This record gives sequence, structure tokens and C-alpha cells, in this order.
Amino acid sequence: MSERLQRFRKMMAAFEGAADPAKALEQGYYVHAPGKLLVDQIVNRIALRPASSHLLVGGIGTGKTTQLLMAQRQLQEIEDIAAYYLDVSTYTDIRNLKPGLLIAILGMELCGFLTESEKAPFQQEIVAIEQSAYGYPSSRSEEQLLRNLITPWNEGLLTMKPSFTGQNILEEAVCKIWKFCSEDYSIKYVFIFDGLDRSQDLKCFSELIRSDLQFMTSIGMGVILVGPSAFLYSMPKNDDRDLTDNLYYQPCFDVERDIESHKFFSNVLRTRLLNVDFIDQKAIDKLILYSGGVLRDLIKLAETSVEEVYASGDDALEIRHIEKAAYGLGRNKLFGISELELDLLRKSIENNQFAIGSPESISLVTSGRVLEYRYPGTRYAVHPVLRAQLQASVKAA
Amino acid sequence: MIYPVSADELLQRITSQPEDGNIWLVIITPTQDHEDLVNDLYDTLGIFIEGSIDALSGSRGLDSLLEALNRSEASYSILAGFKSWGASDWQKLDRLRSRLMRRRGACMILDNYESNLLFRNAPNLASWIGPRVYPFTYGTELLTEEEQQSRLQSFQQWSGQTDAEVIALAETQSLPSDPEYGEWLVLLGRGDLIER
Repeated sequence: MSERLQRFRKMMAAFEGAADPAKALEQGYYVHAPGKLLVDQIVNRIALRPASSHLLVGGIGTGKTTQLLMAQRQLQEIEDIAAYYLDVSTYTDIRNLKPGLLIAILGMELCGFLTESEKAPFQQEIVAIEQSAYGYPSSRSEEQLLRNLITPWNEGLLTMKPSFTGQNILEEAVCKIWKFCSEDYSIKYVFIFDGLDRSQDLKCFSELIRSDLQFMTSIGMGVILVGPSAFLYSMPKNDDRDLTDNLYYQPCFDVERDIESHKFFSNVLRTRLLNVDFIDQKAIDKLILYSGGVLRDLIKLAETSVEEVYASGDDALEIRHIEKAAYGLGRNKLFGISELELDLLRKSIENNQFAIGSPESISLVTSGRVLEYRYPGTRYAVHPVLRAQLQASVKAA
Repeated sequence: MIYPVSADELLQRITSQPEDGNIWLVIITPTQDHEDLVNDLYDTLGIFIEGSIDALSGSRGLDSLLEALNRSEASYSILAGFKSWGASDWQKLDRLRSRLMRRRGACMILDNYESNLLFRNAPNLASWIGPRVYPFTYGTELLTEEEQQSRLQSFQQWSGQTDAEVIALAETQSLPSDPEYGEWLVLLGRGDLIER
């Protein structure tokens, strides 16, 4: 393998952590931005009151998973706290959100904490948890089965078609095992549930956290949860905001208007750049501008720009490589867009205004085509790579 | 500005990616070219990248594809056959994105309609793919005589070697495995010397 190919692969490897935030943390690429990230607030609040619930919502690629993993690390450093990270989407298809789902997952994890001898007195509870998760045979009479009054196998919470009705039994079982696990009251447990931000059924999501979060905090557990950003815009009732003790929103970073955000993004890039001669400040500024303040887009643009340098036979990253990468990202964001959404985007670019409220406007924000900033002021902006595409197509026309 | 890629450029891009990068990309090409592209990529990637490759189809549905991906030990996958997929399939793939781990990565071969479905219904997957969306047309890899000469000159400058030296190295199986050498041999009409 040539030295050139090796060098470029190494450079790209520094950016590929966007695929796996845990890997990026392990490789030391995490950049802390005091006051800019919510992880500090969450950790400090849990440190003060471990048995509390925290819901984090935010746009795609804004760094939620990274912050959750960082929260786990920071909580683990607190002497009397044990924190566990779980990705719900690895347990089940989250389309099947139903009250009790998180309790079932929690129950399965708690069962995993027990040694074989410790499991002995909890056989009934363990069976109840497993059946709640994966299904159980019906206990109805044969006559009723023959009449097809009910399906013979009741699906569990983690299976494809949950028709679970035994939440009380599940809660009792989890409560018993939890009490045993947390017997040593000097340790406070915190569970971090990731993956629910991909849920599209907001009503089911509401019901889930109303039921499961309240149970978990009532037994003395701390919970951090990620939810869909659309939840923020579509909360049907005011009391949905009270479903958790704390609700956090991770907006995009306003890299155009907030110098600290710009510095943060610059540090994110410089931490991963192995060779400082490879890229100059102008190119860094261009990458930051085109990212729109979305962390994943920054990493992806940088990674693809490095690939462009290699593919074109060059040795240093220049603006033209970034333009090509930005074009690809812009094209990605144009796919699958409806005529109404396109119209909204064009009007927003023309009038420099965007109002959120209609289903199309919410869709544009939750899909990352329009970016929401909260600091230094609330504003919405068409993603820069999309703006460039749309403006170019207007010129061409 | 439209940036269609050639087969050589696709090859260069994929081989430049880190061996454990889990980088996914989308190639957009008309449906009638999907099978040929899968076969061509399978044959050429197999020469130039470390690790094994497999070609998997989505024609039996999402669950079947996920199962195949989980069972496969290949480090790179070529995925095609998404014609029967609807919005709900892409939405489900989006929800289960955490399960899409390939050591090196994967490429998804889609037509325009399938791409629209993916980017409309799988925003998390779309964010993960990022800028790596490449339109591809068979025939764009054919360079004019002038373009071929220019390309050969750039290879000579890059390596400091002549055409004759590269052929001699290839004949004695001493050529480095950089994809540039593969393209160089093809341009010289000596694609027969390309080997793992």
C-alpha cells in the first residue's frame, strides 16, 4: 500500500466516528464545550437528585448520543452513582412503543445483574419479566382457544405485535428485583435510554414515558431518555411538558452568529486533524459554514472533503474539495422533498423568514433541512448546503 | 454542476476509506443497470480492498436483509434490490439503523425513485450517509484518447515510474496494491495483470 493511501486512510479514520459516537469517545475525539452542551446540566442535576427523570430532544446529528455517552462516563465518576446506557432500538423495533416497554427492558437488564445463586429466589419474577418481554402462552381454556376467541400466544412487549396486558405483574416483578439490586443504598442507579428519538408516533411516545418514567423514578431510579424532536412541536397538552422532571432541547449551533459556537466547531475539527498543514483556516471556516452548526454534518463534510482530495490526486484540502462535498450533502437533502416543502424553502430563502407550525414546516425542521437555533437568539435557517443548491438551480433557470 | 462518478472513481473512493470505517454510500443509477453494477463492483472491489465482500439483495424484504447482514462476515456489502420497498420499510430501516454495522462499510445501489423513498422516510440513515450520494451512468468511465493520456501522465508524475516499469512490476507480481496501479494497467490495455 502506498504511503499516500495509508496517510489518507488515517486522516479519514479520524472523522469516521460519526458512525459510532462510542468509538469517537474512545479515540479521544470528544471536545467539551462548557455552556454549549447539555451534558453538564443533566449530570449536575442527577448528582443533586439521582432519582429524577430527564428527557433530551434535539435535531438529527446534533450530538445527542455523544452527550448521553459522555453523561454516562461523568456519572460513573461520581462515587455513589452507577450509570447504564441502553439503545432501545437494539432490543426491538420502536414502532411498537407501548407502556411497559422500558420497564421490560429494565427488567431484563436487572436480571442480568444477578448471579445464578441470586436468581434462585426470583424465579417467578424472572419468568414474569421474560414473558412480558418476549411473550407467553395463553392461559385460557381449550374451549375458548378452539372458538378463536383469543390468539393462543400473547406477544410480548419486545416482539412484533405487542398485545401485552400484564403491566402490573411486570412492575411488581421489576420492583422486587430492583429492591434486591439496590439493597446497598449507597449506590444510586441511573439508566440512559437512547434510540427513541427515531419514533414517529408521538402519542405512543407520550403514553410510554407517562407510564414507564413515572414507575422508574417512583422506585428510586434515575432515568435519562432521548425523544423525537417532533415531540417538542406537537405536544398536544400542556401537561405533556410535565411528563419528566427536566426537558432539554439540543438545538443546532449558530456558528454564523455565535463566536463561541464557531470556536467549538473549529476545535472539533482541529482535534481530528492529524496534520495541521493539510487544511488552512479558510477551509476550516468553509466547512463550519456549510455544516450549518450540525455536528454530524461537520464531520461528514470534513471526511468527504478528505476523500475528494484523495480522489483528485491532490495533497492539501482546498475550498473546491469542500464545495464538492457540500454539493453532495445538498443533493442528499433535496431527495424526497415534497413540492410544498420545496416551496416553503424557496420562500424562506427569498424572504429570510420561516414560521414553524404547519406539518410541512415541522417536517423540514425535524429532517434537518431547516435548522433551528436558540442562541444567541431563536431563528430558523435553510441548511446552507441546501440553500446553495436551491440558489444555484434558480441561477441556472 | 453535476458530479457523476465513473466506475474508477467509485473504486478509488471505496478503497480510500478506512478498513473499519463503517462508511455507507448510495449510488444512483437506472434500474436496468443495477445487476451489471453489482457484478462489476463485486469483481473489482474484490481485487482492491482487504477483507471479503458480499452482494445482498433487499428483494425478500427488510427483515430478510437485516438477517443476511447480521449473518454475513464480509467486511463490505453491496446492497441492491429495493424495488419492492415502500415507505414503511425505509422507516423501519431508519429506526433500526444502530444494527447496520459493517466493518468497512456498504454501498446501496438505488434508482431515483428508491432514493427519494430513502431520503424521505429514513432521515437518520440519510444523515449518516451524508454527502456520499453518487449518480452513476454506465459509459462515463470511457475516457477520450486525450483524457487517457492525461490520466497516464498524472500516474507517471505521482509514482515517478514509466509505463514499462509498472508493467514489469505487475508481471513479477511486485506491484503495490494501490487502486491507481489497477487503473493504470487498464489504461495500458493490461487489465489481465490485475490480481489480488
